Amino acid sequence: MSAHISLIDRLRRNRVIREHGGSVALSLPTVIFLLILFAVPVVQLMLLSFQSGTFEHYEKAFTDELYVTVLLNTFEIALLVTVISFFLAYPLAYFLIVAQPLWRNIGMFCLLMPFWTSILVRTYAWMAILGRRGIINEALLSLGIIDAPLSLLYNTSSVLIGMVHVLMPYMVFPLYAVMRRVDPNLMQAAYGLGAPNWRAFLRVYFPMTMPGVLAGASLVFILSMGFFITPVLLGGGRVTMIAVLIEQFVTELLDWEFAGALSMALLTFTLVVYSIFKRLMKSERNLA
Amino acid sequence: MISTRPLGACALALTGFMATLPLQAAGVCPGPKPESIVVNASGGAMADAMRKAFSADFEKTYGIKVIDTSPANFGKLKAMVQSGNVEWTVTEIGAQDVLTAVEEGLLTKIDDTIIDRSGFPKQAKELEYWFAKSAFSTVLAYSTKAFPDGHPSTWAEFWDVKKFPGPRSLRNHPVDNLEYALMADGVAPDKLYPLDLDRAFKKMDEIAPYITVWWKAGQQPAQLLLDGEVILASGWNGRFYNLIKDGAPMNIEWSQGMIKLSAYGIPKGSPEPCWAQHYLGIMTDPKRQAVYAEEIGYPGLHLDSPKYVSEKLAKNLPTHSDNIGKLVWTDTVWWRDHGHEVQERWNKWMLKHQ
Amino acid sequence: MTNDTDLRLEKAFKAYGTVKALDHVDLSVRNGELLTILGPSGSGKTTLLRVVAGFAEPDEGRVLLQERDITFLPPAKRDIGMVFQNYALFPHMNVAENVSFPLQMRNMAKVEIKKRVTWALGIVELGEYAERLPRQLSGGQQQRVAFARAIVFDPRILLLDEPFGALDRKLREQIQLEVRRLQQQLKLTSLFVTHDQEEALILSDRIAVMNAGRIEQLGTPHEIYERPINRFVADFIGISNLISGVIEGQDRSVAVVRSKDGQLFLVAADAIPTQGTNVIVLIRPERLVLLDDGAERSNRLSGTVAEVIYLGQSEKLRIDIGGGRDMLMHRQSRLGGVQLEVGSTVNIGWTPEDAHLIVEDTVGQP
Repeated sequence: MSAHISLIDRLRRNRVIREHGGSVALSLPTVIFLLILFAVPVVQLMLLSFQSGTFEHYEKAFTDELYVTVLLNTFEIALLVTVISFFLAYPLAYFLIVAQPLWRNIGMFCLLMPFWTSILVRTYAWMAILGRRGIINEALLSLGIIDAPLSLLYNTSSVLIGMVHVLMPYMVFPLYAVMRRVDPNLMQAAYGLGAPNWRAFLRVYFPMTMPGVLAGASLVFILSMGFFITPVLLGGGRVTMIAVLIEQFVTELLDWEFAGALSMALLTFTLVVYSIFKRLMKSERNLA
Repeated sequence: MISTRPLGACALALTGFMATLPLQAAGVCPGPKPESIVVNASGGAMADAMRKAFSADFEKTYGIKVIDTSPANFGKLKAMVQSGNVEWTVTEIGAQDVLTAVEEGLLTKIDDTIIDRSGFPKQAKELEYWFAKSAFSTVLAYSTKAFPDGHPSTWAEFWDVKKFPGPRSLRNHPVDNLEYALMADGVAPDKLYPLDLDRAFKKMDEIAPYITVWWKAGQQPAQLLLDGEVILASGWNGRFYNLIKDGAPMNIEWSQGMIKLSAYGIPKGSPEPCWAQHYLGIMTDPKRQAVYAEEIGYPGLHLDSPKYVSEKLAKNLPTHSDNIGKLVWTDTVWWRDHGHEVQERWNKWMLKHQ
Repeated sequence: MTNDTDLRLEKAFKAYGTVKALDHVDLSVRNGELLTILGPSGSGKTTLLRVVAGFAEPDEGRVLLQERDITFLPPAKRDIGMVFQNYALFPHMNVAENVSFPLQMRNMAKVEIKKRVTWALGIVELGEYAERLPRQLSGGQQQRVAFARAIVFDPRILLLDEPFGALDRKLREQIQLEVRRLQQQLKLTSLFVTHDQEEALILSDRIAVMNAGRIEQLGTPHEIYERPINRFVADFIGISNLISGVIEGQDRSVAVVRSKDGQLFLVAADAIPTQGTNVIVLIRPERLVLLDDGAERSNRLSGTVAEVIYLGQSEKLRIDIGGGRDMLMHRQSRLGGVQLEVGSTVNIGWTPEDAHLIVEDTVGQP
């Protein structure tokens, strides 16, 4: 949620810079919109978690082994998804920059298409690919490479695959935007000054795309933290993320006070990570 | 006949309080007739069945449109009632939630002058605050491909991975599973409650490594059997029947399945409480219940209803005389009292088996 | 090839589709000189620079750097210092890091790097700005950092790609002279690319004027300005009055040219083409004098003042000489003398030595 805020906020800020004066009035609907849809529910959630008048729910959330473990699991998976997305998205974004317009359009289309498909459909698609009678196993079986189907589904790897598939575009687009702004002369300058390709990349190109890396990573990470459907379906119930537990407390156990506390814990955790990203981004921006 | 009975009943109930004739003439309920009512249920195949069996008739009889919404979410029900902003005229309520809903006072009393449950079995006849729409069972289903002859027919055999090797699926939830575990460990079906949790979880430890998928959504187990992801699964009988009737290679073992009543209720503060009673009244009709069962495989509770159902379906209903005796009734009161703590213990247990 | 040549292009050819960006160019840059490639955009000067720097490979021909064939050597291995059009300073590195970059890429020892960076920043007088980021510097300072970065590793030659284009006029002149001074002081062989003829005249030891992928003329600024070899060079460098005509005869080293409307002009020339050759007579505006001020010249024209632009130290005149043609004249301002207004009738003139003879058919190399 906070990721969306920051994007809207940033767009708004850009507009403020461009349009100067009249923008305060223009941004008012956004502010009201955010207040109603974001600030009020968060405050309500917080009040709910303190309804008992004590910190008991927070004490439980932060001391009970179950919730600490799940929170750490969630963090670990979010981190892995972010790292994997980065390694896949970076070359892809670079390809989109250097490719011929035709290929760039094809690439963009392939990236955007998943946005028009529901997460549920995409998740089921992975089940059809990775299942015991899925495409991969059938192909390997018919080629005689394996005798019995491999267990590719219902483990952490399949959850990671599904989440990376859904979230990678959020990494590609900020990278693409930043890469487009990198002056090609700088790379030529680096080569001309004696840098071999890889050193020019590491010392010049990569640092200059760092703002995009951080923006993409914070988006992917924050969205990962709240992921629900993909881990439930592709994890076979074995991969527990915090959102799954929150849902359980809200709809099954009706313990809204504790659900509120868990949500606040997730929100706080996410905000802490986000502010770290933001600080890094700020120092990057000072350089760039 | 169906249309006159509620009319008469309502009129009788009303004349004591309201003597204004025009109101009575305007309809069976007081106040202006609404354009539509909202019936909230599980959606999907269930919404289609509800429409065909009940809503269409309600619309024809009373000239009030029925709007279908979904899903049946207890959290939302509670929020609606507490905020006093209730959108649902009638709603389905999860079997394990309904007692909590009654306890928390979220439901309106059932009006037996409108809703005639005289033909219902004892368990469903005298429920004061909710209406038992049907019975459903969480049963053991098996792949007929994997077991052409001789399939596991008890939970002890489900647990026997040497005799019946292969991937399995159970629900990611303590309800039913703990009962299965105890039965697998030799506890007699009528001695299950109160559940011996330590013993149940210890038995669960044994089977955990062989559970490929801990399912969460109702359609998962049937699909997993169909896709060959697992060869044995627990699941809701209607979901299996849905595929079995189309010839899917799977079958239901009714022995030691857990049976529960599925519940409908009228939220406190429902916008049209009187029409809600009439909607539930329509649902008591055995013939209409038969139509519903043909669609989705969940029987209504009127004892005459099975008469109107095809032979093929009848055998696949938990209430069929061949099946009902094999099934075990879930003690929903025990679960209402212990659900929360058992759920947390379950979550912890799941983490250990990641 | 003589020993004092640092960079040499031999028959360098490169085409983009049907466009010849380099059309068999031969060029030698002498040790320690600043040679300018001057030409309009699309003349091939940028391609020439890219081929030298290694950012492009020629289709044919060779590039030699101090006797060594570098035609296909990657840019990183050429040891060529380069100052880019927009400086191309690395925005995420401070001044010292920018300047030390080429040294780090050569894996130089830290102590040596520090020494050299201090030296280079000292030369461009930016020692105190070592910790600043490029965007915290003025345009002129950025330019000097780019220069320091290009020379810090003691390159074999220095390439300057329109390095002054982004500076405002006053600053540009100052920095130009500074760069020229440093280049001479360090005896840096330099190849300078620009489209600005004035800049080329100020800075260069020699100028190569490029057009359509070929070098039209190579010479000192004086030669290029005073003795342009063809119409293109004459037009491109400075402002020219051009009169087309035919050789009518000669008197020792003075050619007699008859213009199309029948007037005769005398032009001093070393080699005079045969009678009937089509030629152009070039007279620079500042060589024209006003005969009404009392001067005597053997070539003369009368006309009407069509335009006067007063510039303080001088004034520019456009004089309509009839037949739809006009002559441009630069005249030192003075107090007294004839005051010219639009519409005044004037007589202008020049000596045979003030004019330059261009043979109309002459194309290509000097």
